[in-house]
Amino acid sequence: MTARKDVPQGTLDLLILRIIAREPLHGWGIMQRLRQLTEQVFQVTPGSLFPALQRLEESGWAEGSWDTSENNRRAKYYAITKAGRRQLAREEQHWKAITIAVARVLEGA
Amino acid sequence: MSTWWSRLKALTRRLAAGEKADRALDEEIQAYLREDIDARIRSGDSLEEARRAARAELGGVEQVKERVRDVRTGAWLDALVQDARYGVRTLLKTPDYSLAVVGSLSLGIASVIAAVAFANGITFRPFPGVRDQRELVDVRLEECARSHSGCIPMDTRHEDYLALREAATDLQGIAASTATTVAAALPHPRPLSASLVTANYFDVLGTTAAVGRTFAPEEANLDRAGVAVIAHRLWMREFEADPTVLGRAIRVADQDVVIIGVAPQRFAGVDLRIDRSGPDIWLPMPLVDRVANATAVSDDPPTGDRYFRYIGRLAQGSSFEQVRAQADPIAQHITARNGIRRPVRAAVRPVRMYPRDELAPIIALVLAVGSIVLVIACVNAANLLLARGSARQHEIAIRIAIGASRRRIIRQLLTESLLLALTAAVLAVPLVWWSLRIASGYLIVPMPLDLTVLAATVIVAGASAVACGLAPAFRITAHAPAAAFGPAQATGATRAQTRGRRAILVVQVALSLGLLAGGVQLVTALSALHRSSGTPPDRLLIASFDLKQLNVREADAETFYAQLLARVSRLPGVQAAGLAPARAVWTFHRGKGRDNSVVVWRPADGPREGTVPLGGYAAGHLIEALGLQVLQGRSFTDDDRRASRPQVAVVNRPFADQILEGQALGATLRVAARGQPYTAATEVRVVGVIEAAQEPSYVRDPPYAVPTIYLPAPLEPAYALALYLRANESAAVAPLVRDVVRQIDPRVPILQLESLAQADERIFLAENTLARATAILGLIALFLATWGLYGVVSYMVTLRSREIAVRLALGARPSTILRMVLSNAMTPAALGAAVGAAAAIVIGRVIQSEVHAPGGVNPAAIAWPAAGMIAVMLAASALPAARAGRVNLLQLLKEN
Repeated sequence: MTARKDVPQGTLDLLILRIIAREPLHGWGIMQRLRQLTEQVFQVTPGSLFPALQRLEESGWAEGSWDTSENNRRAKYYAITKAGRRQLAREEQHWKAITIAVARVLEGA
Repeated sequence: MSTWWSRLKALTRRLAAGEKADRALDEEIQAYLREDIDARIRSGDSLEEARRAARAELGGVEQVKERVRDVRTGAWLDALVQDARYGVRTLLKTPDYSLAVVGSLSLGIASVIAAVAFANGITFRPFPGVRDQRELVDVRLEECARSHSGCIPMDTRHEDYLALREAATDLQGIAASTATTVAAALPHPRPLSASLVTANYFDVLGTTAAVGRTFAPEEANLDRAGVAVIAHRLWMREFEADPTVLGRAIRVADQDVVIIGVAPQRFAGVDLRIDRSGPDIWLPMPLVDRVANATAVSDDPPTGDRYFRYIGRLAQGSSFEQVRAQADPIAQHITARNGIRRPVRAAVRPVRMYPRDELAPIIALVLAVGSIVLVIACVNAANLLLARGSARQHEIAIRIAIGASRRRIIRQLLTESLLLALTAAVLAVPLVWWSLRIASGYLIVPMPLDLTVLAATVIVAGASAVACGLAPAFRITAHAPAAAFGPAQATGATRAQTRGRRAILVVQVALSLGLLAGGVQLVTALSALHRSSGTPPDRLLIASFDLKQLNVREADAETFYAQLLARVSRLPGVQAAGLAPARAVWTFHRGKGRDNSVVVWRPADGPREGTVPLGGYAAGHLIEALGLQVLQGRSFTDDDRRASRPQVAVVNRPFADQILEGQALGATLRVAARGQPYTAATEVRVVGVIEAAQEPSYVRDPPYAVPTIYLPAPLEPAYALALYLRANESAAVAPLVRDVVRQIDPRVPILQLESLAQADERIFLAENTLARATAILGLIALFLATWGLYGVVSYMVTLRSREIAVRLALGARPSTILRMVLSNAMTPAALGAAVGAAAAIVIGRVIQSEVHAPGGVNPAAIAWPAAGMIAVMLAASALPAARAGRVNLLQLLKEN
């Protein structure tokens, strides 16, 4: 079993924004999507998920509202806001630029 | 920017929601947990397995909540509010403990604030009512002793002032002033402290009148000079702050002057000193010869000059050195004119309430004493916090076990000590305000609780919170949680903790003993220096008069003094009465007044070689009133007194030793009043040598006495004399003297009426006040220290009560236990007492060398506090030990 790595600082916010950009999700749902998408490369625990959600909500990039889940339970759903989409676009651009640059350096070396 | 805005919105929303936000978070996490369990069951886990796995992955609801709280905007604020709330609850749960810490800290903080207020008051406070004080300079024309560097101001004349004003082009203006005491009729006769000033005085200081106006340029002429500006204090006291006082004429000396203005509140020119309240009245300089009795301080041959103080205001961009260079030729000119044979110079200095070198040791002493009290208070508080921490170990262990970090706990404990310190500071401010109000009655220095002082309060409170809270906080949280639940907790303290407490104890005992003993020694030193010979100071009444100001004839003055002497001698309780010029017996460090200056020539002296001793005309039974013993020969007889010119003289021991080289009795001297030529001198024969009246002195020199000569008859008409009365009780005689004077001539004001003890008290007020303040702070320190010691020692014994009970149950004898307990407490106490006593001896030696205290180190000043402290420690350890002896062992074991 390969050791899973902690999510790089700030990346978790970007990943969550990406996930809720498709549809509003509650905490557990976001957690599942994260696991699927990162193929369990990153170790995300509820202990880091909830602070991240708190940050996004306080920054005005995500908005939480209480609703009923598919299992008929009350849950807090997070939806991306307009400001969140702008932030996501910015971050994606930034991230791509970095990865391209890093990849170029690594290949060139 | 929008992010900040939304964060701010989030914060306000959450603050508004309060506990609701926390419940919502809890609910959200619970919902997550349920979804997770459902999902695990769906994938085949049993309910039990699913629950356990889900919880394990989550890692504890509270921990997750804590992490969310940490990322919130204003998380620190949340934490602070939470800590503070929790702290207040905890502190209120144990009010006796909290009160003890707050009480101790507030006394300590109050001492420091008072010290800071004092230092602030005398260093940084400007002279009230004076504009741009930094530009002001003292221009002094000085003559210096050849042998050492001491320089005293020269006496000068009005023409010197005019020359100075002409020469000092780098000054915007220069004003002259000279101080005197004048008899005034308001209309009741009353002595006023007056300042004779040039017309530009108020302009140079930049002072505008509170009511009316200050002097106009034309009032520099004698025919226009019948005007006065009065002090705000005098206006309030004598005229009930009546604004129509302007234009009213009052009689000052024999001169009618019209009040033209009232100076601003507290204005005292730039003469304000710690023991003086400043002038009551300002008069134009041309009146100087009409109203001022001579106040020259110079020892040198008589001149027509007097002491003037020159205050200048520097022009933009000018330096002290430029002004000095401009003033120097005038000093040289005066030397040539007055035949001064010593070096002279001009000196230019900034105008300050106190010269810096004079101030520094006083400020250092006061700040040091205040700080030591705070240190003792902090040590007390730290001890209490530590003791309390041991009692809270259960609670803290639980908090750590359920996920609180050590940092969080330390923060919590520090918040609690900060709360205590702030409460203490809040209590300290009124305490200081009240004590400064009392002190300001004695010290004229304004000591307001201004921003500087309040800022210092906050800083001191914060610093003391950290100082007394930090070590206990680390100590308390250093334990592994398991230890707190185990049986080890019952002994209450680790070995290191016990050692730490013992060390603190030693420091505490040493500090408070040293401080207290030092304070007591300072007070005894200062009171002990008062005269060892002659009439006791509280039994000698002195009343001074100046008839010159009333413009009476010589014969009238003579009659007045003769009647005065005759009548007061008959008063009940009066043993002897005599008259002599003011400051003819003691100079009180104010120099010899000109009135009592006699020039004396020995047979071999040339006309220019006369010396100026203290003394002069001594009427009535002066020597008996002063209680000075006749060492050789005799005192004056009635025959001596009947002569119109003096034919005999009595000298004191220093005169006999220093001037007559021991061959006093029978020596012939020529004496003349100061200002009279050699040819006018009278021959007198020395018929007696008396013991010297020692000058009281706080300075480093040993007690000394000035060479003095007394003559039974005046050399010139005597207008200004002081009455010396030896009485059983000076306080009882004082009003009778007042009545006698009123009966003889109601116009005559008594310039001063006080016992010698009161005069000493007044003149050495600053020193006395400082000594007493030190002693009071020492007492506070002793109180704090005993309080703290009692708390610590009894706590240490209480912690061992289980052990004591077990030992007793196992058959130990109570006396053995008592011995163990006592030796445990007494060892640090004895060590501390030894260190403190050593410190006190050192302090005593320093005091001895600084103020010359006879007797040196005072053993009683060390022994009493030490004995008291040891008694307290005995009680503090014996009482809980006795209690422990009665503890029911079964009960105790059950508790654990």
